[in-house]
Amino acid sequence: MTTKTDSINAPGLGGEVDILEEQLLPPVNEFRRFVKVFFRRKIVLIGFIIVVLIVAMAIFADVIAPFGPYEQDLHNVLAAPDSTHLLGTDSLGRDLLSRIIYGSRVALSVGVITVLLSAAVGTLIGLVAGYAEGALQSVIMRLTDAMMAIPSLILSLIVASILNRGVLGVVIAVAITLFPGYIRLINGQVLSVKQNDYVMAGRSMGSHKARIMFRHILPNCLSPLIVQMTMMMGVAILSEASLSFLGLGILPPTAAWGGMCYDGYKYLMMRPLLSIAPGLAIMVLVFSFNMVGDGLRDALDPKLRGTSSN
Amino acid sequence: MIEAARGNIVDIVNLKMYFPVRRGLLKRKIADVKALDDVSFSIRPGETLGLVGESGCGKTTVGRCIVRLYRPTGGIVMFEGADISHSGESDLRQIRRKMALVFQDPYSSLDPRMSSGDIVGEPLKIHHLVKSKKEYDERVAELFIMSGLSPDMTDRYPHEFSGGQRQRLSIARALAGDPSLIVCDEPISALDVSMQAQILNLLQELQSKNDRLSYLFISHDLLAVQYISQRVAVMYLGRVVEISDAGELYANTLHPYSIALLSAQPLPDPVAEEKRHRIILTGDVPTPLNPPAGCAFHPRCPRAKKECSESVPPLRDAGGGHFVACHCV
Repeated sequence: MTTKTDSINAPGLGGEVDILEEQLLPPVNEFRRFVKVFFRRKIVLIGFIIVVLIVAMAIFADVIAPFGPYEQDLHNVLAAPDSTHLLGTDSLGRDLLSRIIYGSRVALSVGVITVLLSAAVGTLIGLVAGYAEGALQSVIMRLTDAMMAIPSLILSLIVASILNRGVLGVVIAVAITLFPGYIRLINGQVLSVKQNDYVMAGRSMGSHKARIMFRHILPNCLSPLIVQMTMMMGVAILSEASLSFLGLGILPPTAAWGGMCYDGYKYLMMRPLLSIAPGLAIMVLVFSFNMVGDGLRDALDPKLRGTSSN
Repeated sequence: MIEAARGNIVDIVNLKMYFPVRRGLLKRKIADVKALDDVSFSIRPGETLGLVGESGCGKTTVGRCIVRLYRPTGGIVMFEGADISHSGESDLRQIRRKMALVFQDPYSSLDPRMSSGDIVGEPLKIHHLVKSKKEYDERVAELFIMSGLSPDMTDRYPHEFSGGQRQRLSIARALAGDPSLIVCDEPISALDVSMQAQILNLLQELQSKNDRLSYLFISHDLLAVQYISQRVAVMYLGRVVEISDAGELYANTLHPYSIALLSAQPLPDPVAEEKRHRIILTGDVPTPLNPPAGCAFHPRCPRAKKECSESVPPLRDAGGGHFVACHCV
């Protein structure tokens, strides 16, 4: 490490250059500011805690759940809640609470994979469209508009009915409705980030297009992308639940909240909890993701960059 | 008209840059904005050419045509003797090491997501100028020192620097490829006065250490241009109206527009300032969409004659390398 004295006596400088003629601006701890803004609203904090709890629940399902998800107790079907089965049992005598706990695995993994897949595809296409402009951009964006005009549930249903039922089929069916949103978001971001002189500086230095797109433009589009991905977690989980409810999602007997709602609604008058409990689980998780997304949007607001945490 | 001297860093000959204006569904071209029309000048090794003119006269466009961010509509851009006016991106990549840009806005010219060391070292990576990580680090530290920054700051991010320091980072980045030309596009207009002086001195000092380093110094600050430039070109509405050695141009201004422009500059000496006679031009700058016929300046020129509205005055030598484009001189 070169010390300041060395710098001044560096060869060929003649000691004329005033090093550090002004001090650096006070360092701003971006992370601390982020955390402070993020948790400023209580509802965001609650959402965040619920998301963390549900993620922990999914990871440690084997430990937490009192029964296995497929464990049948045929002497005890459609049992009312009691001390053994805290939420009762379903029509096959499976413990409802355990199935809800295991169901979080499906909800989260489908949500995460769907969001990652649609974000990757949409971001790439949006990046190319925004960078290329001209005819290519017009074609891509008009096709995107056309995609977004199709009602998403109907599109999912069509795709899901073509594909195999299973996690992959559901993921693709849901992702196909989500990726046009990313194209539009990233396209707009690229158009605005491109206006910065550092993009022109990159070109004037002789950077390749790919370097400019991935090193300069994409990192500066990340904040809205992260917010969008969090928001879309909720949408993806809800879509998966809808598909499972309609019988085109995750195959039974796998515990999926949407499918459980469907199984339970036949006994709605007798054991309303069978439908209501997984429905509530979906609602709480989707709501929590939306709150976290809301908080992220505030905390990642570029207007706050470099400001102090107050 | 322009000496095609050997060994010039830049020669531009009759450079034209028209930006099409498109309207409607089919993006039909309805007009051209003539940002540059028949601009010719040269920059010699180790020279600073000042380029002055009011907003919208095409100063920045000249700079961007020279570094080939724009493809000129007509005319020739020669860089170190090679015609680059129509070179493709892959050919330009080789040349771009030798030319660099310093921008006006120190906030938008540095990528906020990259550390200052990465920003300054980026040209080294793009052009594979260093062989090892160690050499890279040494070179980046050297560039920081050359630009008057402490090499301890390489892992700081741009938002932690002040405007003047950011401009130094820009200069350090420009120096990374050991360029022969740096196009300084209003490098000091966004800084306060004490910072302006420091940046000007830094630029001069760098030039004194490397006698092949030339600058195209674009500015509307006439005093700064007088201070730093050996030669000065004055532009009006996409044309060079006067070009000469700096001392000659300021002492013996010929073109009526240059005279008006210089008279608008407040003088630091209060006695001289008292006597300063300001020429106030009437009317507005015409639109480059539809420039006036003949000399573009004639509708506002106090000395306009009949022929000024009829033919475009050529840039001709008024003696001693002082070129001026005016019928009345």
